Amino acid sequence: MTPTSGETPRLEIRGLRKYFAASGVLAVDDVSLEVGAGEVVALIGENGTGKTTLMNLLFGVHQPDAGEVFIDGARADISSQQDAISHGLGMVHQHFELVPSFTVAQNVLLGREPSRRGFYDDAAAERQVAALIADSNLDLDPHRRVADLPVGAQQRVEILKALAADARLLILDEPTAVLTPAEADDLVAMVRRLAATGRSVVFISHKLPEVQAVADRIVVMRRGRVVGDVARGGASDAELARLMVGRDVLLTAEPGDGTAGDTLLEVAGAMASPSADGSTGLADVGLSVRAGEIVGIAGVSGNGQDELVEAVAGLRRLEAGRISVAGIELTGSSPAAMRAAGVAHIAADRMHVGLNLQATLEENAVSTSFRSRRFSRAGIIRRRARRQFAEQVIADYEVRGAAPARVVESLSGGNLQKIVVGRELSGNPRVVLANQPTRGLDVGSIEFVHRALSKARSEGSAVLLVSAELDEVLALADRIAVMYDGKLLGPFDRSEMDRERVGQLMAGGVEKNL
Amino acid sequence: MNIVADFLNSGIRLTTPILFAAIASLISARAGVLNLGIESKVLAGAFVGILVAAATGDNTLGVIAAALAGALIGLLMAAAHRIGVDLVILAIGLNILVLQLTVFLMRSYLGGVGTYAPGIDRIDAVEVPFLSDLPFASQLLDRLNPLVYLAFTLAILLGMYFRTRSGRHLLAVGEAPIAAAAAGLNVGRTQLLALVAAGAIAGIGGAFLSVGDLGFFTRNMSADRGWIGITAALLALNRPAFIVPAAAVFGFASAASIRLQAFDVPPNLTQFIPQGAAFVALVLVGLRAQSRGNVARLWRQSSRIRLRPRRSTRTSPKSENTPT
Repeated sequence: MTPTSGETPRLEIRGLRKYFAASGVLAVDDVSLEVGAGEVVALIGENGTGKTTLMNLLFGVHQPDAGEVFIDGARADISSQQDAISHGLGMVHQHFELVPSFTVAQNVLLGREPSRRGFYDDAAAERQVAALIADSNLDLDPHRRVADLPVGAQQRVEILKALAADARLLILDEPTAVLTPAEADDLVAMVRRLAATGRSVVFISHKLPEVQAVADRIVVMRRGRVVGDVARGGASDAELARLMVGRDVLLTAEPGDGTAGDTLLEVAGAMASPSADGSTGLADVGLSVRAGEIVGIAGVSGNGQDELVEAVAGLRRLEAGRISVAGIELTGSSPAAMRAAGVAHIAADRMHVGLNLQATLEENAVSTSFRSRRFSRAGIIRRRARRQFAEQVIADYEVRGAAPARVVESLSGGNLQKIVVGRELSGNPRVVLANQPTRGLDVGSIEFVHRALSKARSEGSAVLLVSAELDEVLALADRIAVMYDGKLLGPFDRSEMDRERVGQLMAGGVEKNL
Repeated sequence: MNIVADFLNSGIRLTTPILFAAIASLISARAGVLNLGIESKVLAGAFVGILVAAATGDNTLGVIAAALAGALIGLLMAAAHRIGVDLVILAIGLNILVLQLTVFLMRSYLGGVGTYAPGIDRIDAVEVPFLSDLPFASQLLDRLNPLVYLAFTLAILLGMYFRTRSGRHLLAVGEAPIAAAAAGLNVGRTQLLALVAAGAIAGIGGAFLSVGDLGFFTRNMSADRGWIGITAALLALNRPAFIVPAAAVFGFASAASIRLQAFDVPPNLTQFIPQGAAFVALVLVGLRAQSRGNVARLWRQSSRIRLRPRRSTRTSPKSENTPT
């Protein structure tokens, strides 16, 4: 499957294999792959299918048990990250590896600084980096401090770092996970420009639309194996999803029937100050959610969504404003009071807030309701009721590899989230707060969570869905609002919104421009 | 006798050991290590310095030995860090250990608990041409030995060092060790060298107390100067440009407290002045949210960052193995 047949591929992987004895997982199973010069190859697959292990093998983090790597036709034995860099590989991680207080130039040339008479030469560094920026068509100011740059620009600094080390093959690990739609579009365009200069790119992702836009070739991995290798336009989103999951996947959730009932959640004039920990606070946020509808809040993470959800969940005090549930004012109530009023909360951080990873599944399943009559009597837990409930959650929500009495720590992200969703959605909550409910999940689990939220809607819950994934909000929500810098724009009716409008609002576009 | 000159003189002499300790703290902090063991290094330097000076009759050798003693403790911390020991806890242990060890050695071998006075000459003051003949200046420069000048020179050199390649690397390692490791810098070695250098500098600060300024050693001679040095470094926001004024705040507060004892002020009140200054300084630092974040970060890092450079940050085999 060499697209540029006859030429030596930039990267050739032959029969790579990696077995982790400690956990008994064959993470990479006989993978062969070629990337041509100037080619963009997207590597897609669900979580835990070996994409990251494969890249770690390339980068010397792990040593392969079998197989060989060739770079520009020459065999490469890579035992460290420095080896990989000297072989012309460059990697941009999801979490940037930058020094915040250094300038762009200082970061790009870290470890290779020019110096004059013993001192670091700022002017020369900025000249070098400016030349590199011009050469690679990236939009950056070498003089700016990295801490002051938006996320998209920080990512460009990372790319520039790899280019400064003369990377001929660039690996981008889930590069759009942290970007706004507009920034993601820019990135796609930039990757194409880089490819035009002869550099090769491996683009790891699980978002199908952007993969279709950026890649010359799409390689699909499942359970450590390459299960598909298709040229651009050779497969539809649905076909790719089926390859990834191994079965048909419902990519779009069905919209609601548009019959919303009484207002169940009402937030008015919510105010919170920005704080030193990076919170933007809330600026006069008002919102109402009715029974039988999903109100989606789109926006780049960290624009006040968490503050809003936490306030409604009773986890954060507002400085001003009111919150009422089903007509009863509950401003400033405790989390327990909020839950008693029928508020369910699918927390963004399932590892620390949504679950106690060191506790068993059945303990987690009743952790929000163990005080109820159903699960305790006179302060004593009713074990049988708890066990039954846990088993019911496992069965209804298809939690795989789980036992009620086992600690949940070892379960995968998707199964952990199913426990949370199962716990929160059981018992017909009036209000469901779903904060980033599918973040980090694979396609199969995402589909599951979407179905569960749709079901809660049709059963009459008022669902507030917060997501950084624009497609998720567009697919599920009946009304859509955007949060930017602590302000809520909207909600607007779903029919009035499309990707471009929401994207513009997410990037801080002012309402009147629309 | 000129009161102003005398006050300035004692202020400078009291600032010197604090400045050494503050520089040691600053270097450690900027390398990403919260070094709370400076007190032990100052005390070890004071003790070893005077022992070697008395044994050899050469004060310079005493100062060098003091630097080595401090550096050795720094090396010990770096080695313990590498095998995963929490440096905060280790530092608390070291501070107590060195104090009790000096008491034990004095009692067992030096014939007393309180004071060890081997009868050496303290290090001579620097004679500055012309100035030392003027009345005001001669009082001002009285008893200011080369170590005093060394402390202030080190502060300037440190500011210059942070503009060199190696200094930039130290700052990068301290602020973003993962980024530094990814750029091919050796995080472990940089932090080790920083701890050793900090130890040597704090040790010299100890030698200034025993060999340099007084010519004898007393029990717990460091008397919290290591801790005050850490406070001074925090007050200076760990920036070389502010380190001298920050250390001087505490040195001159001590000088003022001694001066006030000549008047009819209760001594327990005057003795509170340096401690009060430290308290006020910490409150000021605490009020700056940014630096509070830095302190908290350093605190966390002291127990989390490994000296060994990490190849990859997020993708341990374990996380990859979780079957989905």
